[in-house]
Amino acid sequence: MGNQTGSIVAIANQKGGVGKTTLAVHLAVAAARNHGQRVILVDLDPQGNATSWLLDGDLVDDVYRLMLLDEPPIKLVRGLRQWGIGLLGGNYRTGEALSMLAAVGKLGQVPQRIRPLARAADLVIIDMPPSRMAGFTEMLGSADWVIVPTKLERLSLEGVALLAQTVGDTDGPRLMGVVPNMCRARTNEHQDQMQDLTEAFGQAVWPPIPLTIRVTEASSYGTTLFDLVPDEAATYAMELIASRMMEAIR
Amino acid sequence: MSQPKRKGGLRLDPSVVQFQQQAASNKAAQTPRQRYDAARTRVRADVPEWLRDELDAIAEELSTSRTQLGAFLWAWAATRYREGDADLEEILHTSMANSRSINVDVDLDLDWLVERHQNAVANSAEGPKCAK
Repeated sequence: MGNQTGSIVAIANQKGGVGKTTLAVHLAVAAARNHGQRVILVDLDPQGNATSWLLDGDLVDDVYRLMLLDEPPIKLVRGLRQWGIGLLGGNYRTGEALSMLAAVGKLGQVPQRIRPLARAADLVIIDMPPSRMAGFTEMLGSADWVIVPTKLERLSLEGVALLAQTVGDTDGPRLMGVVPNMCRARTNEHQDQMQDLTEAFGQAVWPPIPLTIRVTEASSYGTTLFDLVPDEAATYAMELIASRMMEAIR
Repeated sequence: MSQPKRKGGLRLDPSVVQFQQQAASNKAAQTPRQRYDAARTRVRADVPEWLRDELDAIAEELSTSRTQLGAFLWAWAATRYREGDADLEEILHTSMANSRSINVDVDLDLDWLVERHQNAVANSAEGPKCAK
């Protein structure tokens, strides 16, 4: 796609509850605040959790309009001054839009709707939906890179493997990193799973984010770890991961 | 001359390596001291204050630690019991009293033993004598 300037990074795992939204929100905010990037966060998950997080509980149908209406994508982006980022919010209507596109055989248009956003930003972060819903492959194919958060448990790691396979099957994004989330270093189970993960993905395994109630608190209060608990291990891990992402896309 | 650094190969993120070194079970990452400590069997016991003081005093007399002395005395007493030198069952059952603690059902009422011990201490001016 011509004229693209910024990079598009998808946060994806086909398993739910692994921290995709948490990672997407924190990476977007960190890239804007700490690295001076112009960032657009696109909430493609029909649950609209990232949207609700950043809009204090509101849900909007920006993605629905992006997919179905003939509006310039950049005009749909909301500037969030508090966070220093732009947001393309979503809700259940995202699913409706994708179903409609699937019904008329036009899912192939999805990348054409998303990729122009990268002309207006240094970095576009996509919060992907869990599961291979209609349009999943096309949404993933819009990205240049994919970051895969995972919990250190069997089902989540199976999600990583599935996604790696999907990435391999599509001629789209490159795997940037695998982020172990909600980790407890002193448990045998998590150590064993980390061993498996490093054997499979080597140095693509990025700094683990420790399990902490602070993430739950941050979403409850509509804030981020950076503001809520700037000196905690999970916050440092988020900052490290953001730095790794910035190194990769430069 | 400083050791040359290896180049290339698999280089895990330092934070991933640190995570793996935090494992209680990751023996490869443990120091010899940590391995020694992990292999120890430790027991905590509730004892009355006089007994703790007495163990300390005896340990000092014998130039050893309270831990070493306690471990030896338990082994020694267990051996004496197995050899039939002490009817612990009768002693325990006649010494039990209902406990006021919510954690245990019964306490041992060992006043008779305390008295016997005090007499032994009083009569031991010439130093302790006991059979092996």
